[in-house]
Amino acid sequence: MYDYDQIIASWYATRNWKQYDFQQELAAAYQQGYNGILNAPTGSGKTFAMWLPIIADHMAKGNHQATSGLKVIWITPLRALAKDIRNALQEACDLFDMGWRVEIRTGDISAKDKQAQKKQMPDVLIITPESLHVLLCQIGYETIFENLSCVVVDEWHELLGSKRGVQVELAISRLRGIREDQKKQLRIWGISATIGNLVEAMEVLLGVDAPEHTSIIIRSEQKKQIDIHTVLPEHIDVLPWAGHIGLKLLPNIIDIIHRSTTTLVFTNTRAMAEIWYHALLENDERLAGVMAMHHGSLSGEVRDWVEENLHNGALKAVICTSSLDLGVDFRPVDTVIQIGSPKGVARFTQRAGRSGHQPGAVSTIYFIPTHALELVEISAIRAAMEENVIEKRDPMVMSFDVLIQYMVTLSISGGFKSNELYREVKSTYAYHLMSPEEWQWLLQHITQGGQTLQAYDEFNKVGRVGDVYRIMHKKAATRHRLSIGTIVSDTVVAIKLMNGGKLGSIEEYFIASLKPGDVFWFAGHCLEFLMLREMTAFVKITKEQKAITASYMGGRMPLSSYMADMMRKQLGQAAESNLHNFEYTHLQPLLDLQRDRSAIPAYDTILVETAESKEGLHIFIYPFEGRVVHEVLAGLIAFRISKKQELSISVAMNDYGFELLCNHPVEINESVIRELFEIKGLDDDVFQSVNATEMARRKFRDISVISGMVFQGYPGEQKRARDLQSSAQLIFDVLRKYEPSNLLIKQAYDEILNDQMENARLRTALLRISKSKILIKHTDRFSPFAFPIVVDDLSRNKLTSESLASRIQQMLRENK
Amino acid sequence: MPIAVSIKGNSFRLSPDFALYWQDLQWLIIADAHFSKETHFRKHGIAIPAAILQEDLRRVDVLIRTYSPQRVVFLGDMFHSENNPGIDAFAKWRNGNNMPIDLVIGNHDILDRSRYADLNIDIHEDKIIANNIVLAHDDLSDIPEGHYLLHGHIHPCIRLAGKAKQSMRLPCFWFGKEKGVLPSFGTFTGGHAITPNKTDQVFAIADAQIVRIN
Repeated sequence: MYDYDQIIASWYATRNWKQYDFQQELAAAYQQGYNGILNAPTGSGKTFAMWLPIIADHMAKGNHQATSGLKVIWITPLRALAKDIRNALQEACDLFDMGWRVEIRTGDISAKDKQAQKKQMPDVLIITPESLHVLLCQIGYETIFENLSCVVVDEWHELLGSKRGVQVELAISRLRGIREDQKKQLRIWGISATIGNLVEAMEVLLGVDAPEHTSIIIRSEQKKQIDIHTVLPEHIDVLPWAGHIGLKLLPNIIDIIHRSTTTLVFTNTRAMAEIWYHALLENDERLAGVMAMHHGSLSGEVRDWVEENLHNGALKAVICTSSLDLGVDFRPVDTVIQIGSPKGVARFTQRAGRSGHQPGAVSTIYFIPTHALELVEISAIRAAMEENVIEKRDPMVMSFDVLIQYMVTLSISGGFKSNELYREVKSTYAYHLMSPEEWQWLLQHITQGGQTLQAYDEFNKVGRVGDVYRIMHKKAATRHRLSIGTIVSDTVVAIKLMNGGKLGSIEEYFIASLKPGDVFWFAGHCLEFLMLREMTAFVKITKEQKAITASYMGGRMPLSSYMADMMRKQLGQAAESNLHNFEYTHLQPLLDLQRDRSAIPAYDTILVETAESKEGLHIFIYPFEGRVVHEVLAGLIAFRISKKQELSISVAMNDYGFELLCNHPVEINESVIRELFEIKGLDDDVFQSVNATEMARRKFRDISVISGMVFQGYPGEQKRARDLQSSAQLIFDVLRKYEPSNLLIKQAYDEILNDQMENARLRTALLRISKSKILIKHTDRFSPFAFPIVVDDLSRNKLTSESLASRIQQMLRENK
Repeated sequence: MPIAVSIKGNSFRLSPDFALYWQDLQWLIIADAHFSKETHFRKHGIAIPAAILQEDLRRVDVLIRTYSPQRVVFLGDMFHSENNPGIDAFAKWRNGNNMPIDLVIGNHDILDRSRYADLNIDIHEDKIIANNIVLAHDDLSDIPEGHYLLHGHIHPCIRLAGKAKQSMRLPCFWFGKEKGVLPSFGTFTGGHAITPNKTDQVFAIADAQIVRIN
């Protein structure tokens, strides 16, 4: 027999590491059967803190070799993390000669390995939420989990707040159900970085039935020291008023890279990573061969190669996106550069923490502003970090699309009984408020395809045999297996060289915009597009330098509410000329210009600007609430204006404010503004605004895929099954007309009003505005605040109260 | 009010319910109905509302009552897919009327020829020629001299833009010099944006009205 504490202590002793308090606390809690959350930053020894108690518990009970099969599941959000975790866990097992096998199960592993695992499961599986659900889709899956003693969810803060988090909740409820059937315990632990709502994060992970006296949060008290440096050009005029590139500061960046051992350069989008990679190479040949790029579109082999060479110190710099935000410890990295605003304190801290990874080391991050007002954002981040505030991650609830997918999954792997599954699902945080009626609707949806059962109907999916719900349609089962998951991406095509090498994949709509002979940047190469065959774009590397940068989706992160408030405070101080820090000294000329053309709003003031152009009347309102809130707010205000007079409005917004562009004059004064921002009638008005329907229609895109309404085709052969493909938009319109009570349509609206838009945040914003002073300025030329909104044309929403016929007549007249 | 169009000496009326009425011959012309497309989806486990078919058939009834045509000509893609219960529902509807129906075969019309006979539908493999008008599903390249082609298949939509960055997309009839295209009739069908020439005539359907665009 082994002694639990001794095993753990001996491991730290062999490593010559000190066992920190939080590691001891966690060991004690685990032994006593607690579930909970380990809150520790990366680089604090959290993996071993979590892992050692689990193996020590098995060894101390002497059952680590007694039972074969799966004992521990380690859920990770990123496939890229799996290998490192596997090695770490396996190493500890080998040290104690436990005879345990730790294996990976993600979309990346081969069919052969999957088969081998099916025959004999390893003792430990590192798995993604999606792959776990694929396991739940296998007939007889229950026996796999019979001896499971613990589920660890790594990087829980990343999963929480997304539908992948909901997937984790559902999987845990099922695994717990399997163990409970055998009257055995299953321990659940999450590992999370610091977020503003850790207690809630634990409730979500453990479910609503988890007894409080066996739940605990263990906090590592280690605080990482972060050095922030803002890089500025010599003259602020060099920084543009709007934009997102920031290449002006290229020489400074080259300098930083050479002063450091290894640097990670974070950009907010993949397209930006390509631009920067290319610009750096072109301006400093010393970087050739020692600089690489890492983002989600690149092929797995490329990313593996980059990660390996980061580990062994062969790379001087890597240009990356959020694909390297998480987890893995690259020891040589001592410097991080962030290009453009990170939009949130948590993300900034996390990225900074990618440098100086060792316990006790200092993290160094350089911030590269891409336009002038981002200096206010970085200054706000600084202030937030000093005050030690960090964002919350709000969990998603009532995601019926994920639940439908899960129900069909279980119907394929042997079926489920309604009352049993209902009980389990109700124990999750995500669905604890679900009503029996909603559950019935879901059952009806998967068995009858909706509420009306027509005589001639042949809806075919899930059927009821006795009291078990089972899949009835073999092809539907195949399609379902291929569609498990909640990450909905655009259709992608593979990028291949003519001689066969695969470089990665890219969104179809981008390729569709290319003509043969066009040249674009991808994976750091200048590529000439040759042809598209099935779902593969063939290219060749070219010397031609005039390239289009692939403009792939992704990465428009909204400002978090903490940061938004911080920004308002900072601007308020600036308005009183009361702010003195590095960033503001440099921002002064721009702020003077803003003051000159319009004004800088005090903390308790909302600034409204109006301007006229040949496009019509521009009304700018600056609540500084972040893009997400502005989108709803702008729709609401536009709707309220359109109720009072017939006109058409197009709406644009950024993190600072929004613009209402009206085709007819609108009277603007303080009482009008106050009326427009009234809280009374908020819900009705938001719901009625065409804007909400537009946004819901966009939300429905993901919902339709996750719930199986839209099938994205078979991998590699998207051409097939064309007869079953239709656009999410069309389905949305049809459902809205014929089945307005459809829960998936309702979910699309709820996701805007509650989850995404945070109804509460909207109310808070309106309340704050109603108490604020209103300052209205008419401007002859767009102010520095207005300019970025005007030029950012990406997502304009439209709203109108004019009749369709009169709008058409107007458009025809205007186009004459 | 339907709008009248004259093509090579023939008079047509444009119906805001996505159909064309040929006054000289008293034919009602419908393109891309895609009947029972939703049934096909449902059969494969995708829950598109089943009520769409009944609604689309009701719309045909209304058109027949409005124009009292001699016959109804479908310009292809009448049914979306293979035999399915939606076709049975159509058959039931068909039993209730004795309107002559013609179908010019489109790429989606893959039912057994005998099935069309059961449904009392006259099949035309690639076109119908009457007076100097050619009716087809596809955009045919070889039209007899002096003839005009009316076809379907592309589900035309027109995009309009205006002040304050307004824009919209509307289904439309699109008449060129030698050929014209009908909008798709089916509720559960998408649209394809077109770029008309200056001399083309385009009529959009907006709020159950026909609006001349071009």
